Amino acid sequence: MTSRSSDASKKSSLLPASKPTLSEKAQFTGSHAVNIGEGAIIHPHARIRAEGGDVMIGKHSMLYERALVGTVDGGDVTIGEYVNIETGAVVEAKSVGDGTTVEVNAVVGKSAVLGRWCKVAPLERVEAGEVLEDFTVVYGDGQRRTDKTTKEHKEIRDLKKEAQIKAVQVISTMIPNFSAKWES
Amino acid sequence: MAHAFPYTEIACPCTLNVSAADSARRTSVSVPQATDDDEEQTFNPHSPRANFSLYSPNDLLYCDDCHTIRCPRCWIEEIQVWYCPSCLFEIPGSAVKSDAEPAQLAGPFIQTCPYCSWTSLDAGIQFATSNHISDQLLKLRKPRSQEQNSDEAGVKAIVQGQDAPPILTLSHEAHFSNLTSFYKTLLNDAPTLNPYAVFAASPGASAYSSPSNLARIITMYSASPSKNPQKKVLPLREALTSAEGLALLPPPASLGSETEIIARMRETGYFDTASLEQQREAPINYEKRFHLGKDALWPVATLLRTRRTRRCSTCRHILSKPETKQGITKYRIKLLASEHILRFMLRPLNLPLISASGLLKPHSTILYVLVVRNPLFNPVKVTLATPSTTPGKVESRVTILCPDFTVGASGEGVGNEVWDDALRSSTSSSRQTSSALSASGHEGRHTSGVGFEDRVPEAGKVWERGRNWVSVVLEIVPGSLNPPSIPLSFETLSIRQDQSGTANAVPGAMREDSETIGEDDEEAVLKIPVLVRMEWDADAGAEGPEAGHKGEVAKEKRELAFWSVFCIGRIGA
Ligand SMILES: [Zn+2]
Ligand SMILES: [Zn+2]
Ligand SMILES: [Zn+2]
Repeated sequence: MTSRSSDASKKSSLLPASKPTLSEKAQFTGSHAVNIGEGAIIHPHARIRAEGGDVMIGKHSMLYERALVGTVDGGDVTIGEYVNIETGAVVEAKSVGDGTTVEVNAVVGKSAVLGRWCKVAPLERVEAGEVLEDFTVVYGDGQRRTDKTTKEHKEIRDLKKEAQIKAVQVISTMIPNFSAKWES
Repeated sequence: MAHAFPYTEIACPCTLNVSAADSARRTSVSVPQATDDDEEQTFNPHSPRANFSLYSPNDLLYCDDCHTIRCPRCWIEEIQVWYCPSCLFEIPGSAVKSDAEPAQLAGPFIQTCPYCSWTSLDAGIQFATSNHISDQLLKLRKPRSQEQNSDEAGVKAIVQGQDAPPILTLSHEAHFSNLTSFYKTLLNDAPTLNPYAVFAASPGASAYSSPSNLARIITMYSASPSKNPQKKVLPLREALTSAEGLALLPPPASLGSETEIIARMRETGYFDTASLEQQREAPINYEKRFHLGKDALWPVATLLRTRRTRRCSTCRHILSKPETKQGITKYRIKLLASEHILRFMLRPLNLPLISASGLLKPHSTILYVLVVRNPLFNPVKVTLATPSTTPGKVESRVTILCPDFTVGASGEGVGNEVWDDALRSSTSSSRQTSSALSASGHEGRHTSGVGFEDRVPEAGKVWERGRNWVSVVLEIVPGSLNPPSIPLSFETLSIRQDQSGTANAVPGAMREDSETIGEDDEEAVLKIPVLVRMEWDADAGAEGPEAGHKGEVAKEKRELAFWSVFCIGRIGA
C-alpha cells in the first residue's frame, strides 16, 4: 500500500490498491508517503502536501480544485472514506472521519480531529487542535449543531454513501487519469 | 418624514375627489350651508386624511390616455412574474397557482437544508411525493394537533394562585379556534353595542336577511350620529381564560421545568434553540424557543416575491411594466408623473432670516423663490392659487407675488437645455448666469444671498425666466405656535382676508382653544397647499418626443389641476 521515496520536490510516490483517479494537473509535494484509496478522485489543481508527514486519502473521497490537504510541519494527515474536500478548502487536520465534508474555502487547522459525518460549511473554520464529535455541523459563523438526521438514520448514511459512489463514478469518466504516472 | 426642507408633495386628483365628496356628505347633515364646490375647498395638508393623499412627485405615474396623474390608489397592479427571494428562480404563474409540478420519483422524501444539514426528519416529517408540499404539510399537521389536544382534552393546567382560573396550554390550532369563537360570540351577544356586528358575526350570511338587521342598517345611514344620541359604544372585552383563547407567554408546562430546559441546552448547545426570527416566521413556531427534538420548528413555505405591471384603473392603459428578464431592475415602460406635470423647486431668497436652529421665526417675513419647470414640449399656462392663510392650527400668511404666468416648452433632452443656458449666459450679464445655475438647483443657496440684494420682488412680476422654467417669489409670514385666544368667527376671517395685502395684518390663528403647539408637532411644519392649474395646447394624438416637429399638427386643449403642498420648514416656538 505505501512506498517511500526521497524525492522531495514534486514527485512523491504512491501505490494505490485499486485505481484512484488522479488528474495530471494535481500537485503533489513533499517526501512523505501519499496513499490514495480506491475510487478516490484528485481533481485538477488540487494539492497534496506531504512535507510534514504522510497523507492518506480514503476510498471514494474527493479533493476538488485548489483544495489543499497535508502539512508542512504538522505531521500526518488521514482523510477517511466518502470524504469531500471542496474547492479551495485547506485541511491540515490530523484526521477527518468517514463521510465528512469540508465545504468551499473552509479551513481546518493543524492537528484538528474531525469525526464521522461532520460538515464544515463554506468559509467556516475549525481551529488547530479542535476536536469535532461525529455528526457535528459547523455553520453560521462558528455555530455548531448536531446533524440529527444522519446520526439517527442509518438508511440516510447509506444513501449518502451510495450517492458518493455514483458521483465518483461519473466524475472519474470526465477526468483523464494519470495515476499511472505517480505509481512506483 | 425623512425629507429635507423645503420639499414639495402632490395630492393625486383622485384622492382629492374622494375626500371632497366625502367631507361634503359628512358635513351636509350637520352644516347644511357647507359648500358644494369641491375645487374651492382648500386642501388641508395637516388633516389626518392628507397622509393618504400626498405623494412625492417621483412616486406618481401619469396616464397619457386619461391625461391625469395616477397614484397607488388609482392604479391597479398585475403580477407579472413570481420569483424566489433567495435564488431568484422564476416560477411560472400556473405552477404558483396549482403547485402542480408533476411528481417523478417514488418517495419517501424529506426536505433538507444544504447549508446547515437540518432536515424535515428532525421534526419527524416525511413526504410521500415531491410535489404539493404545502398540502402535505397541512395534512401532517392536523393529526398532530388533534393528538396534542386529545391527551387530557389538550390541556394541562398551570395553577396560577388560588382564586385565579387555571391557565391551560393549548396547541396553536386549538388556541386559534377558541379565540375565533370567543370573538364571534362576543359580537353576537352585543349587536346593539356595535352596529357593525352584523357584518362581522356572519360573514357568509347576508347582512340584509333579517328585518331587524335591515332596520338597524337603515338607522345607521339615515340619522346623523349627533342628532340621534346612542349609547356609548363599549369596548369589547378580551379573552380571560384559555377556553376563550387566552394564551400566556411563559413557556408551556409541557416543556418541563426550567432546570430541564437548562440541562437540555447544555447538551445541545444554545444554537439549537430557535432564534427569534424563526419563532416569528409563522405563528405555528411562535412558542418553539426551547422545544427540541421531534416537534421542533415546523417548516414554513418561503413567500415568493413578485414583479408587477401597473395599469390605469380607469382605462387600463399600462403605466409601468418591469423588464421581464431576470435580474434586470429596469422598467420597460414607466410613465413618470414628473415627466408630464410641472416640477417645483423651492429655495429661500433671503437665508439670514432662518434662525441658526433651522426653525422658522414666527411673524417675520421670509421670501422663497419657487422655480416652476415645464417638462412638456408645449408652453404651459400656469395658475397658482393658495389660501392667504394656511389651513391647520398654525395660520401662516402666504402670498404668491405672481400667480399667473406661462412657462416655455421643454427642448429635446437635458443636453439642449444646458447648451441653451450656456449660450444665454455668455451674452448676458453675470447675474443671469448665476440665476440659471440656481434655477437648475445646483447653487441655489450660494447665489441667493449674493446676487439679488439690489433687487426687490414685485407683485405681478415673474422673478426670473428661462427657456422652460419660470421662477416666482413667495412671501411667507410664519404663524405663531402660541396663538392669542380670540374666538374665531367668519367676520374676523373675512376682514383679515381683505387686509391680507397689507404688511401689518396680524397672522396667527384666532381660535377658541388656546392650546399651544410644540415644535415637534406635525402642525408646526409650515405646509402651503397650492392649487396648480396647467393649461396647454397639446399635439392631438401624440405627446412626448415624437410629437411636435412637423409644421401643422392638430392641437388639442388640455387642462390639469391638482393640489401641491410646499413644505417649507418647522416653525420655532
Ligand atoms: Zn387612464
Ligand atoms: Zn390617484
Ligand atoms: Zn439551514
